Amino acid sequence: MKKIFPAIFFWVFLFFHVNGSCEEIVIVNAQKQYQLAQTLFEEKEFSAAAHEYIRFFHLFPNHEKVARAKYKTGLSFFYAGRLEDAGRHLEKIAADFSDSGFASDAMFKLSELYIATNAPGKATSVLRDLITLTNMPQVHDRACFMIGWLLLDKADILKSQSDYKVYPVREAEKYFSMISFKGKKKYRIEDSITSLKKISHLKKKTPALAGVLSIIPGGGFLYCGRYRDALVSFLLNSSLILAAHQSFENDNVFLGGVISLVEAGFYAGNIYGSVSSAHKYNIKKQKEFIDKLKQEYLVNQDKISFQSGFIKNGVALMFKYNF
Amino acid sequence: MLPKYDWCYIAWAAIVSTLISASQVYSQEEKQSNYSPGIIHFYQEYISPIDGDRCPMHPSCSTYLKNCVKKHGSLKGWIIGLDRLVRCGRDEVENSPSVWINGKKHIYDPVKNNDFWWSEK
Repeated sequence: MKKIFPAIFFWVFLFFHVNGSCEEIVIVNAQKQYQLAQTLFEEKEFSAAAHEYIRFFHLFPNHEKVARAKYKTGLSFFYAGRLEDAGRHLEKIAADFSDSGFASDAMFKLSELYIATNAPGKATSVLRDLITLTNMPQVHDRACFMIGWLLLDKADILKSQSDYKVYPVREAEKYFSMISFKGKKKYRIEDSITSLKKISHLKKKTPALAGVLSIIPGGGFLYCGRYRDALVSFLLNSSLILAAHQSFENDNVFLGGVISLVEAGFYAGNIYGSVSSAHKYNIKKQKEFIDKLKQEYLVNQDKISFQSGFIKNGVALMFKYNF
Repeated sequence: MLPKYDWCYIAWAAIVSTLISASQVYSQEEKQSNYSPGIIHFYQEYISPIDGDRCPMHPSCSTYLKNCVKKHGSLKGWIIGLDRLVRCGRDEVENSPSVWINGKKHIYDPVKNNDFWWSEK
C-alpha cells in the first residue's frame, strides 16, 4: 500500500499538469501579433508598441504589413520621445520602401523630428529629397508647402549655417510657387506668396554704413536706432580719449599708454557693435515681416500652428500643420 | 645716456610688444583648453561674489568675454567682449529674447547672436 499512494499521486499530478499545460499553449500568428502592437499604439503605450512591431517584422519578415509595421515602429519611438531610435527607423523606411507610400510619410515625420531637435537644415534636406523623388502631386505640394514655411520660420538660423548658400526667404518663395494650382487653392497660399514679394521692399540698414558712421563713437548705433547705446559709446570713448590725451600731456606716458590700449578695444568694439547691430536690425525686421505673414495666414485658417519652447542651447520654434 | 622720456617710450614699446606676442600664443592655447583668462578669472572668483549678480544679460558680461576669447582668440575676443560692455542692459533689451534664470529675467545674448554674420563656427 505504501508504494501505491505515491504512484497514484504521481499519475494524478502528471495528468493534471499535462492537461493544464495544454491549455496555456498559444499559437501567435501574424494577425494576432500585429493586433497586439496596434492595440498598444492606440492605448498610447508607445515604447511597448514599438517593441511589438519590431517582434512582428522579425517573426514574419515576408508579411504584407512589414512596411507599415516598420513605419509604425518609427512613429511609436517618435511619440515615446526616443527621437534617436525614431530617426534611425524612419530613415531606414525612407531608404528601403521608396516605392510604398510609407516612404513619403516617413520623410515627413523625419523632417518634423529634425525640426523638433533644432536641426532645420536636415529637415529642409529631407523635404527637398522628397520633392525630387515623389511623383505624387499631393505629396509634392505638401512638401513644398512645409519646406516654404520652414524656410521662412528658420531663415536666420539657416542663413547662419556655413553650408547654407541660398537665401532662405527667396527659396521659400520658390517652393511656394512650385505648389500646383490645385494645391495653392487647397492651402490658400496665394496671398502669402503675393505678400512675400514685398520682403525686398523692407527698409534695411547697411552694415558698412553703420561701420563708417561709427568713426565718431556711437554714430553707428545711432544709425541703427539704438540711442542709449550710442550715448554710452560716445561718452565712454570720448572720456577715455580725453583721459589718454591728458595723461600724455602730463608726461604720464605709461598711464596714457594703458588707457589708450583699453580705449582701442572700446573703439574697435564700437565699430564692431555698430556693424553687428545693423545685421541684427535687418534680421529683426525680416522676422517681424514673416511673423505678420504667419498671423495673416492663421487668420484665414487654423490648421497651422507654431510653438515655441526652450531647448538645450537656446530657444526653438516648432511648426505643425494639421492635414 | 638716454633722456627720461626716451626710457618711457622704450618701456612702453616693450610692454606692448610683449602683450601682442603673448596674446598670439595665448589665443592658440585658449582655443584648445577650458582655461579662463587670468583677469576674467580674477573678476569671477574674487570681485563678482562681493559685487553680486547684477548683470541683466545671459550669459553675464564676464562669461560672455570668456566665451569670446575661447571662440575667437584674445584680440577679437577682447573687442567683441568690450562691445558687449557698452550694450549691456540697454537697447539690447528690446532686440533680444528674454530667459528666466533662478527666478530672474535676463536678456539672452550669447556670442553666436553677435558673430553669426561673419563666423562660421
